[in-house]
This record gives sequence, structure tokens and C-alpha cells, in this order.
Amino acid sequence: MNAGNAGNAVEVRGLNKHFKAHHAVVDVDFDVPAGGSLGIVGESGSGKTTIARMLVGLERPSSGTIEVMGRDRSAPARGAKERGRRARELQIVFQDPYTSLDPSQSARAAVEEVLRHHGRDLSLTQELVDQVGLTERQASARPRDLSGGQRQRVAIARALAASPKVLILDEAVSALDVSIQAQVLNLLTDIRAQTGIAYLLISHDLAVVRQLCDTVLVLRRGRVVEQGDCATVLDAPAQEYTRALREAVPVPGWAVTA
Amino acid sequence: MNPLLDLSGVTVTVPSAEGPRRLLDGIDLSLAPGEALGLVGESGSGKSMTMRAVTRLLPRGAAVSGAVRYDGAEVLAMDAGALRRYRDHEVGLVFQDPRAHINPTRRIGAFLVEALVRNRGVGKREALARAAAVLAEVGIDDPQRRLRQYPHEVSGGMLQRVMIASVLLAEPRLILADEPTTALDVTIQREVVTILDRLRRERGMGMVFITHDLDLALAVCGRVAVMYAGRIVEVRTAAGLHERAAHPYTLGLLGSRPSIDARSARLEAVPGRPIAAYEAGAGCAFAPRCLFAMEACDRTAPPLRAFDDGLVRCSRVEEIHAARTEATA
Repeated sequence: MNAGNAGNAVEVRGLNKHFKAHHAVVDVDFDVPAGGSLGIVGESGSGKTTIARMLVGLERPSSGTIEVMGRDRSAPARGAKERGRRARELQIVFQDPYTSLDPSQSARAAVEEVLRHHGRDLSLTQELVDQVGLTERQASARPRDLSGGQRQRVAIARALAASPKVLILDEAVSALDVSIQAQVLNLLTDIRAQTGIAYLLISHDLAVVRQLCDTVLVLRRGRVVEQGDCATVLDAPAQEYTRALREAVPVPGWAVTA
Repeated sequence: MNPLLDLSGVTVTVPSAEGPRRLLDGIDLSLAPGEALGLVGESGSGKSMTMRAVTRLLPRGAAVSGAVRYDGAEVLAMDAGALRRYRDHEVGLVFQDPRAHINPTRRIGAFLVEALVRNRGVGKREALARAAAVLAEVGIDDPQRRLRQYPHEVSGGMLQRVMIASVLLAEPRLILADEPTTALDVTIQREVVTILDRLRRERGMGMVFITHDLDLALAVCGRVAVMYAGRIVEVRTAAGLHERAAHPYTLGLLGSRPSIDARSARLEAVPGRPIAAYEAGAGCAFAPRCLFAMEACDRTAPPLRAFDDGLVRCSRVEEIHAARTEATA
């Protein structure tokens, strides 16, 4: 890891978060290279969602630094201008597309609102709608008339409308049916290839991480267990816990053959 | 051997504001005593509704036709007494979210002994002893302490083991497990399915394991049935399905799942979205998403028929199989 490397979209150093006596995140360091893709893997209570919340400013770190595009965001943003700039640097897509969209707003309206807020050209709306593969009818529909996969496409289009350099995907494909999940994973692969956006994927699913990420960080009880290239960490885990995670992935004839 | 559970032509229709909606469309399924059968499908495929038909726990106003036979007895024709005995003594249910199925204000011990004391007339002391023994069987340390705890004091994985223990206390011959590990971490999932599998074998119970996760079904079950739009589209041994899946939908599911061993440039995603039975047209329900579909597929619904040691619901399966075999030869 190169501290201060200008090629990094995200740099996190010595990150800690305490909730009263509970130490949720302990001395976490990682980088996401510009245009790169890092997967943070962990089970319940690993601290992965707390890290995402600190990156977007929903939680304040107890100590440590977070830099996105070379600018510190360890402290809350001061003023609308700074908040706008942070939003153009980093966006997030949450797991549940049912609760993260405004029920009264069509995809088109949601995208336009973000474009307008960031002073971007409204004619980009159609491009974004096409980019995430929504049809005309879907782009004009309210969220309740869309399926889970379609809503997640809306959430992705809305995030991309701010033209961020980094997109956090917080279990963003976990709730989707597997045939839909594959479509969204292909879409995310295409978007990164087209735009050079960097991803930070929070997931419990090692196969999804392998599909979408270049590097991976394994987190347990708030601490980094190991990190490195996806292929290295997943094919030859150095740590017992990573091995256990890997072996817990079901494969045919794994627990039993009846 | 006579099947423990046998469904034939089970069709379920529920009322809705837009008129009756069909959720299951002619389910044929059979489970041998002691067998583990996986029931796999996406949203709306009808896998949970199938389980509800087996226990007759159907939504209000639902119309059921076809036959559900348990050990030769027709479940759909049982009177209230027979149905209660069947549910209490013969079938054990394990659900996705144990917290939604356990009274949070009562201790785990009280929950576990309730059925034994009330339905079986077992003394309380004896019931508690049995409960402690079963907790030990599902791998829970210090069962005496757990019996005194409340549900909120234990983890989700621990509580799912408590649920499995409660099912075992009734000594059923059939376990219906509906996404029993979906809410659990992967390492806990592995522990729970291993326990479930060991106990099923030791006690010779039959199990229907319902899951959206085809990999998990292949890992846990001897035989797997794949559902789409309220119909069974393929049934095969787990090994057979893994190596020689034949239905285009099963192939799509297998291709959709990323691999932990390698990144693929693109996943072979199935276009469109899964549908429910009432959204299907007259022909094959999968045809609108199927890469192999021809005009005829939209007109006539294919039957579930024997193919390559399994059952497949596809008119073109021979051609598709031949083309695939040629392509990989």
C-alpha cells in the first residue's frame, strides 16, 4: 500500500469507531485505486457497514483519516458547497431498493433532481436511463410498479447522476433474485469499464466479490484479517478465518451426498 | 418404497383485487422416507406456497386442487382432528426468521416444552430434560443455561438451532425447511445445515429444503426440483443437476451465479425477470426469457417428462441437449 499515492480514489488510515464500550472498527487501513474495485467481506458485526457509513458521512470516525480523491472527509462537511463536492466524489447504493427510493418519484425525476442539484445538463437523463438498461416505460414508472432489479437500476442511475469517482455498493445485489443479480453484476462491470469509476463493494458473498472486485479486504470483529488481490486471497488464503469463510461457501457434495 | 410425501397436480389459486390468481400450477413431487429433496426457485416460483399446500397452511380464500398424500393419507381431505395430529406429530417446520416464530416474552425452555406438555402429556421435569438433551444434539453448549434464557439473549444462529431442536422434540418423520439459513452468516449457515443433515440421517427423517440458492440445495440435498412460475421445470439428483442440467432455466440459474474460483468476463444472465404462475401465458412459462424458445413454445405448455435420468418440462430439450453436447465435444 502506497500512502499518499495520487493514484488512489480512497485512502483510509488508522480508522476506528467506538460506540460506547463497543469497538466496531479497529485500526483499519485500505486503499481503493482510481478506477479500481475493492471488496470488503465480512459477517454480521464485522464492521463493514460502519465503514461504509463513515465514508459517506453518516457516522463520524472516532479516530483515523478518510481521504477521497485526495481530500479529507474525517470531519463533517461544512456548508452546502462542501457537501455537494463530496457527493460528486462518492455515492452509495444500498441493499434494499424498496426503501432507498422516493415512492412518489419516477426514475427519470430522481435522476433529473440529482443532475439539477449538481448543475449538470438535464439532457444527460436519457443517457443514464439507457446506461442502466431501463426502458422508457420503466423510467417513467413509480418505484412500486418496478421489480427489485429494476429499482436497483434506478438507484444506480441516480447515484451515477452525480458523476461520482467512487461508488459504494453496500450489499447492493444481495437481495436480488439470482437471474437478476447476474444482469446487475454485468451492468456494474460495464459501467466501470466505460466510466473508470472506482467501486467499494460491501458484501458477505465471496463469489460476488470475485466477480466484481480486483482487491479484497477480509474483516472480522472490526479488524482487518487479511487483504490483497482477489485471486491471491481467495485461492490461497493466508489466514484461518478466510479459509473458514471460503470453505463455508456451499458446493455440490459439500456437506453431504444422499 | 412407498413415498412419504406425494403431490400430484397440486394447483393453488388465491383471490386478489384483480380476480383469482394462480400461484401453483400442477405440482407433481414425491419424497421417499429419509430423503432430502431441494426445492429451488426465484421470487414467485411457488416454492413456499408448495410447502404451505403440504401443511394446508394456505392463505384465506385459497382454492386447492390435486392431491397431497402423506404416508398414503390424503392431507387435503383430513378433518380438523386428523389435520392437527398430522401437523403436531408428523411434520416439523423450520422457517427463515426464527425470531418471527418464537414468543419473545417466554424463556427458551418454556417454548421448547410447550408442545410436549400440552399435546403429549409429558411431565414438565421430563420435558425439560428432553429439551436439554435435544439442545445438546444440535450442538448447543450448556443447554441448562440456554433453557433459562430469552430469545433476545441469543444470536440468530443459536435461535435457529433452538427452532430445529423444537422440531426434533416432536419426532416428526418429515421436515419442511423454508430458507432456514438465508438470514444467517455463511459460517453459521454451514454449521446449521450440517446439524440438520446429521439429524435427518440419524433419525431417518424426510426433508424438503426450500431455498433460492441452487448451490446450497446441491450441497445439502440428494435430489433437487427446480421451480419456475408455479411449475416444476426440472427434477434430478444433485450430482446430475450439477453436471447435466437440461432445462434452459436451470442452465440459466447455473450460469447466472458468479463462481468463487474465477471471474468470468460476463455472467450468462437470463434476460427479463422471474414471473408468477398467473402471469404466464398459454405456452411454456419460461419461453419469453428463453434463448432457445421457438414460436411453438409460446403456444403449448410442455409436460414434465423423463429425460436423461431426470424430469424436464421443455419441448426442445433433446435438440438443446444435442446442440450443447456438440458444442462442448
